[in-house]
Amino acid sequence: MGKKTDMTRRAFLRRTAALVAVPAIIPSAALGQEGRAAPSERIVLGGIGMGGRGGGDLNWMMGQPDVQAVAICDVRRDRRERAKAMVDERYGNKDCAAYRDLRELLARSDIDAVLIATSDRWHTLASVMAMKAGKDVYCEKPCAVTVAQSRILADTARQYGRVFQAGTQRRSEGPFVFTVLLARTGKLGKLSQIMVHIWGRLFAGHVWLQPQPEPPKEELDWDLYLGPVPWRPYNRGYVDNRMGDSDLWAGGLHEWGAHTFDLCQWGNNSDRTSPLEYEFPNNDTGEGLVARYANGVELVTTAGHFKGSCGVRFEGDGGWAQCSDGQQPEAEPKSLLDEQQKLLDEYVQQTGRALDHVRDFFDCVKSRRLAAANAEIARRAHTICHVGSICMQLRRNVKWDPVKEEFIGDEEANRMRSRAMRAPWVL
Amino acid sequence: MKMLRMRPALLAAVAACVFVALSLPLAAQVAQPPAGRESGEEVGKLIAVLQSDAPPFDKDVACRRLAVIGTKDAVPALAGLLADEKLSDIARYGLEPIPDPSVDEALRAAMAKVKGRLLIGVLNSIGNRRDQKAVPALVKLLGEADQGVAAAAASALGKIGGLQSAKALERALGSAPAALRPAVGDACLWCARTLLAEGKRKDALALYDRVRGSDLPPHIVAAAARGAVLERGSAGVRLLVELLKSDNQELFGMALRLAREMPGAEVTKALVAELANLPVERRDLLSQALRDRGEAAALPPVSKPQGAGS
Repeated sequence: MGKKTDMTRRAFLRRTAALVAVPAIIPSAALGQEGRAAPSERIVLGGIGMGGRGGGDLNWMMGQPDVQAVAICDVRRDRRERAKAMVDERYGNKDCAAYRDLRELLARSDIDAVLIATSDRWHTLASVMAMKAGKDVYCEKPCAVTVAQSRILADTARQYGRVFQAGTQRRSEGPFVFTVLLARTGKLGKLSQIMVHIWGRLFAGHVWLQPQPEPPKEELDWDLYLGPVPWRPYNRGYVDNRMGDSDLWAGGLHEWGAHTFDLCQWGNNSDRTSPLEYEFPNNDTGEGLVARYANGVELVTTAGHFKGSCGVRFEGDGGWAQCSDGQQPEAEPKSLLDEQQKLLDEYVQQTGRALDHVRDFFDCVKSRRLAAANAEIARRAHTICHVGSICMQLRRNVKWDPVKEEFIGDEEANRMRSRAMRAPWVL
Repeated sequence: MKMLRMRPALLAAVAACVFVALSLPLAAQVAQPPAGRESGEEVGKLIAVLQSDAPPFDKDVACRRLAVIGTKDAVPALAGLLADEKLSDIARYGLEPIPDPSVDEALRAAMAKVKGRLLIGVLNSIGNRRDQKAVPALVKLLGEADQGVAAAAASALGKIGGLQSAKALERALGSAPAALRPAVGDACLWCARTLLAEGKRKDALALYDRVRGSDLPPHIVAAAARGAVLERGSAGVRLLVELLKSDNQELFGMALRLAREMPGAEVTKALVAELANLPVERRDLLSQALRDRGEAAALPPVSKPQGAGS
């Protein structure tokens, strides 16, 4: 091979490697002060739902050099003020706009992307509204509380070509990624079972608390707080404990399963489908709920076993591997653990993805590729949350058609796939 | 915290009807009634609750249970709540899943009886149920002065789909006030999807092209462009290249997404051919899209930069 050809090939490979291995597409010349991107290169961000998780996510996002938060929104004044103060302090000015009504934030043409970290009932609606307003969306989990919502979310993202990232951040955390890769790459042999962690209560009840006078809208906008769920008279108790009612909290399978079912789907190479059969475990805790895939693999829920939360354990005929929050991966044979760095390096090289969920989102905002936990992936993983919850509510086995997205021979269950929204909200 | 208490007699009937298993920290679980058994009797009791002077909470619980087991017998009682400011939404919650045409009749009848927010809710439920018979009435509401109602009518037409809806929405694109046009544009996109599902590709394409040519926000035009490219098959490749060349960032961004979605060697060839025509930053983005297609090998070799060492 001639010298000229070698140089050409080496130059091309260097360029290709640079484009693949460096996810952030910001030329160094475009970096502004203190290593931050010049204003013209920045993604302009709004944050909707500024509770604890929302504030944490926004802080994480503002740490990216090419992101500028310009607005926040919350129906509670105390949270609006706290979030605005956090953003203003970051940038050393008082420019952050604070909205009570998300429609005002979404109407801003300068905002490219939004973080949605409201309570569960708002996730799909706010995401769809944002995408229809031309924004890319990072939405906390669970991204949907019904089958119908999951489908509309994915369809809207596809129709509008928006980047959507579900807040299932373990798809981008090294220890979990490595554990999943062991399963996906066949190093555990043929998979037979995947244990996934669920925790705490499965469902909230449905009660109305004693009516109280509604606070002024600027203090807490009760109408917007409820959003799409049916009306009930105001009581501060709903605000202080949203997990006390089934309208305000989707339930334990959504709370934890959004994470763990997602990892199970990924490890089983099932991102485009979901389990067919769900076996009711004859209890009210959900312990031992079995969901069976077409390839025979069984997903089994458990509140025990794992030392940390959001645990997942893949078992195959060649070994097993597991990981949970705050724990290093474990595997058998133990020699598999020696491959962690190699597998992760290969993953980053092949996919070009950052092992940082927020970074992956913003890279995709710039490149327009699908995010690691995009809406279609979220749709299928969340299906397990929805169908599993219905199985538990009906207290019987159910069968699911993942192509038609309906229960087989079960009208009662099929009726539970969607819920009418309080007007004027609609998907 | 004091909770509202239901009347004892109703409590016995309704407690068994709550379809969400209670899981309160210090309370015992409430067993669910076996699914499907004695549901006729249960429906009767729930209807009685709705037709009584029971407090709103009792009626709320009854509506939720009827959503799961309600029959056509429950429709009049549920429909009777559609004009109630506080209970209209939960009544629709109960009505929407009942698979009987009497629900559609009741919702259509309610269109003439309610206004404002309640009418918007009724229209939303009509759209969710895809009631074709409601189309003429919905078309009339496209010109409603209340823009929330007009938008809801457009949304419902988009979901219901069909040629009559498509034509009405197309007309509205030209005549609707500026503030309403995005909602109409969005409805056109969903309507086009239903036309495709019915095999009416030509009509869907006409609708996509109409939206593309309308005065609408760029992201809606881009969404229509997506449909126009995908449904043209190989003829769509030329349109894809046009999008790549567009100054409009939304159209270019959609082209990048389509570059990953559209399979085939012809598409790869057209994309590679376009690389040299793009400015550097756009070339990098398209190159990444080609790699995501698995077509890194199709990328042209990079010329040695001037002055670079060997």
